[in-house]
Amino acid sequence: MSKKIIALLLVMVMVLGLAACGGSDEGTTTSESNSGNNTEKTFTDGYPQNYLRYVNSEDPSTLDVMLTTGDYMVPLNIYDTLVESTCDDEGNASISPALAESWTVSDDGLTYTFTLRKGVLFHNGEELKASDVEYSVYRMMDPERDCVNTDVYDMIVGASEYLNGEADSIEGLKVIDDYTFSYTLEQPYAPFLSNLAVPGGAIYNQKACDLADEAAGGVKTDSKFGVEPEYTIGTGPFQVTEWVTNDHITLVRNNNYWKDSVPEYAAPSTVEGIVLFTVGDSSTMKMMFDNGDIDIFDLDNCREAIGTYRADATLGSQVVETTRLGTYYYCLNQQVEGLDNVLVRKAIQRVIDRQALLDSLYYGTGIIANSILAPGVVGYSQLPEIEYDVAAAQDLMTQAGYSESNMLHLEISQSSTASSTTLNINEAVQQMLKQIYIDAEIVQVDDATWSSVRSQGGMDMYQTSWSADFNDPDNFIYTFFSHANAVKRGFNYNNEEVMDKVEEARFMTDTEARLKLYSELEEQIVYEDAVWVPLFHLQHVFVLSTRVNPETFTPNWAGWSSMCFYTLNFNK
Amino acid sequence: MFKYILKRLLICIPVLITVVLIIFWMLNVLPGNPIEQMMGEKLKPDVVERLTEKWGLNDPWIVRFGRYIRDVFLHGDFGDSYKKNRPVIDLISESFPNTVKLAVSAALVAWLVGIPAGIVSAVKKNTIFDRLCMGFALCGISMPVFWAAMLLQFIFGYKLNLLPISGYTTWKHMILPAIVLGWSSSGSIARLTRSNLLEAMRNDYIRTARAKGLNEGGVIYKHALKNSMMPVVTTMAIQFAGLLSGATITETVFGIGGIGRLTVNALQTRDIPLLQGSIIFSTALIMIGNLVADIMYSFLDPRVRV
Amino acid sequence: MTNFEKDQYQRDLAARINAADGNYQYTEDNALAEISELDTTWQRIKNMLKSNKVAMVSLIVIIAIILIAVFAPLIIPCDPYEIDLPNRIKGPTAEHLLGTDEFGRDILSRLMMGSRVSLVVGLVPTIISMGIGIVLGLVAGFSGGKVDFIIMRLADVCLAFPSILFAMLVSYTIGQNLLTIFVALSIISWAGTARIVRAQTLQLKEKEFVEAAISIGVKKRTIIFKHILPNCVPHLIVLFTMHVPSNILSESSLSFLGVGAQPPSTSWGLMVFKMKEFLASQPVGTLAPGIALLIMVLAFNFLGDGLRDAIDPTLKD
Repeated sequence: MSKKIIALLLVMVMVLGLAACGGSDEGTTTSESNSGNNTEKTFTDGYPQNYLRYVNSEDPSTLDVMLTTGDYMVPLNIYDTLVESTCDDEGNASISPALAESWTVSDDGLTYTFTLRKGVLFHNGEELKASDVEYSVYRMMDPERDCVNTDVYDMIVGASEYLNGEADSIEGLKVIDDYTFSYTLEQPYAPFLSNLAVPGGAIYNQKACDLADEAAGGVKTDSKFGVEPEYTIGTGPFQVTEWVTNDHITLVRNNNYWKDSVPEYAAPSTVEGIVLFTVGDSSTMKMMFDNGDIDIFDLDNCREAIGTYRADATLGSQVVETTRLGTYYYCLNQQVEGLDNVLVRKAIQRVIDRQALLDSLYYGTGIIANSILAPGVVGYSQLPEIEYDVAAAQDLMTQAGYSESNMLHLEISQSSTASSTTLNINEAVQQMLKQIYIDAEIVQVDDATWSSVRSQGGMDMYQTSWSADFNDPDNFIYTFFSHANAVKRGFNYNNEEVMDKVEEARFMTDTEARLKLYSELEEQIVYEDAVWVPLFHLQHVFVLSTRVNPETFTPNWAGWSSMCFYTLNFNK
Repeated sequence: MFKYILKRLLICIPVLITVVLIIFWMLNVLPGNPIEQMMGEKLKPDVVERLTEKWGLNDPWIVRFGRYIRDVFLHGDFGDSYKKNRPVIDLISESFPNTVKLAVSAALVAWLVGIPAGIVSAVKKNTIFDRLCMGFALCGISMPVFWAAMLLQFIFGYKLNLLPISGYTTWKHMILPAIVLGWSSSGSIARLTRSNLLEAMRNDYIRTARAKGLNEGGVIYKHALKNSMMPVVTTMAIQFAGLLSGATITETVFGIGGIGRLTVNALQTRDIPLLQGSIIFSTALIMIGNLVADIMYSFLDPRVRV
Repeated sequence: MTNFEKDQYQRDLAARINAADGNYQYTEDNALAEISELDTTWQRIKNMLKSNKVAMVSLIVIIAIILIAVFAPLIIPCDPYEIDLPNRIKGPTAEHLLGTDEFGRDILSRLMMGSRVSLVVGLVPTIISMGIGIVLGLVAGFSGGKVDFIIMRLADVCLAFPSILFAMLVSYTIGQNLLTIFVALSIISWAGTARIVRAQTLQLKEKEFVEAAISIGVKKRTIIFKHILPNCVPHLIVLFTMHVPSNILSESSLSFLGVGAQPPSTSWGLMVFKMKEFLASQPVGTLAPGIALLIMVLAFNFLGDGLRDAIDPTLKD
């Protein structure tokens, strides 16, 4: 008998133990409805209500935008550049003044003279002067630092020499007075202004940067700039106040922001700050959004949810799509057996049912691509459609000598950390290729191996996307089909004539002739050489919580996945 | 005894160096330039070349290894993370408190579930109670961690809306991760408690105690339990050391910035200094756990010198 | 987590063998009794299965899963690889009993095919690692001295290595496929087995009959196969049932980290992972493989516990 009592007691202890850890929070949990998008949720306890909450999958590596080519979310909100790229709803892009109020270009296209906007204040209260611009250029090209966006300035006379330690100063950079300075280029470079608009072209304050270097004991590579919020100073609409590694970054609104007093830019908003959370798992992100823990959910992280949100009665109108100046494509390596035959490459272009992929995997959020350039990029033109035609593709393969009994073996490489849709596309394409006697194997390697194998031209084929850093065809064509990059990007492209012309086009000053040449090159590469399998131009889809006004969600530049939240506002 | 402990501690150092050597070598065999990887798709080839040269990544790996070991053991300098541009020590010491929080709460859950479950199933050996308790405890170690985590998030965070889904700023945030991790650790504690208690209850002095007419509860509590807990405590020590060295998946799913996530991120981005640093750290923790366990055992029985 | 448990069990066992307390059968220096140890082990297992219903059911479940895996190509209702994009992520229907996945493939068929990978991933690395462990344990125990020292320190290195990280490193180094998973899961987990076999060897080496056998020139091989290995069998069986479930789960963790089974083939772990995005819209997609995995691993655990009750020498009545 007593045995049973003991056992019962022990079971009770266990149950109590469980209850103690599972239920003791009952008293403090606020009872909330399950409707989603309730703003007063436990998760954001401690953040004022007017803070916008966003979620990222990775903690940024640094907030110093000179040191990164990808972590743009915070930089876009805390720094400004001399000029800005904007893209309207029709996809027309233009360059507009920002920190530089105006500029002139000399007739030979070599010298750019800028006039700075007066009265622009950094977060530390310092006024923006031409000396800060000069400092920013020197900082970027400083051989002691490890800056990675040196291509923003490397066409300025003497900049590369300075970077290599062969010169003490940058000859082409002249400060004329506190608000005027000029850049002189080595040769006319058409995309120069667009290039200055990239996040890496941010202008820093010399005093703040010096303080940050001092705090690191003068070791420039250990600078606290971009690491500790108090040293990370810019002119942007928000200022960093807190960075908890792998958890969140807090930005607060800059009340002295220069755009507030410029009527054509001013966007009065009740958003007092931004909290950027870092969460590594997409299912977690989705549940957080559904629970009202975050305000903006980038559906790149969870494409599968696009359909659900669109169909939702309240959230349907909160789904926003923005043009992403980018193209999804397959790269075909021209130098591997099988793919060296243009017939095979053409067959692959035709057997991929892009519409089906777009509709099912991306819920139709985009258009079929037939080119390298994306709509919205200067010089984009509609090229004839590549038709989906399995029979024609089979014919091409038969001509090339392949059949059921003589299959071509190819490897589709992908990075194991790529998004789940990359794997989905590859799996689907793997099946499609079976119809044309290609036995494809998906090879997953880790990210680092992937980039390394690719830069040696060692992959058969891979799928990825490219979006514009600056608005010029050069940013697409040169990246893939120049002598310098043909192997690095894995195409092993060998049409010398085309590559010579790509180099030529960089420095042409006659815009019309230049764009025409790009268009011809594009047609040659896609249709004749068929090394580029265009897939789609996708929209960037977000879903906003009901308290955010979707009208005010206008990313200024869609080439990057990140955006500036200056214009964003809550519903009244 | 003292000599034995000292000897074991000394052996730890070469073991640690071997672990680092193996990782260093494997990372070296791997294709992939850390710079290219870290800075991403948009990086220009000339920048990669410049930084590779500047950071000495062109040196043979054995040279870099020597340099690393010298810096670590002579200067206590673990270097700077490539990606974060910050001292490795800072990053580890920032992440560790979160891992500690998670480990302590998970261990509490593991003990609160594991020990009672083990006792009940030992006392009620081969009955339905035994099966139920062990079944509950074993379920924890029989599920993929990320799946269990997702289901709990879905039920408690989303459907019932009782607990936060992600983050680690308040104690409430720790409940779900602690249950996931603790439950999966409770299985082994329950098993050990059960088998040790069963063993202890068969011993002569227990029979004597029973014969003397002590009631059953007293027997179990006063004698059997006391004598059987030693190996369980040892396991708890090792398990705790393991929890302290980071729980990658739990940390990822719940968005906790701990050691486990730090390490896996470092591996994925080839952030070699950070990876080395965090591996040394977690390996040292596991070794200490193992050492404590071995010492406890040899303390119990000096004949054992594993 | 389960690794620590294994380590602990192995440590525990090694210590018990070393301590060789009075309950221990081998203290009777009777060579004949040693040989019959194996027979009594089977007898005990049979008895245990008769009395322990849960273990019996577990065994049946495991056999059923093995049968499904073996005959999967013959019994699957649909082609597990056929993509049908218009019918993706559909709930259960008469045609697709468990619905379809993100490509419109039949989940039930994929579940059946996936059982092969999951089982193989559970079994093969276990066999490899135990094989390595037995050989190294024997060598260490027999040779003693420096060889013993080196092998045991190597074992320390393996015990200290963070196992998931190591698995990721291996798959990054030699590419991702099933073979990699085998290597990654087996190459550092031999340490525990080696410790036990070594302890057993050391203990037996001191026995008079073994000493006598050595002195009259009986071959080492005979001693190993006739005396030492049979004595290890009970422990090895228990270890085996602990390794298998932990390997199956490790593979699912690796899938989560992107280095698990490779498509289009699939494992249950990978299915759970890939379908978890659809928990709200097609819950069966992730619940079915998840529950299958849970049942299989649980069955191995229950069977293992039953076996341990039955054959752990220190626990017998």
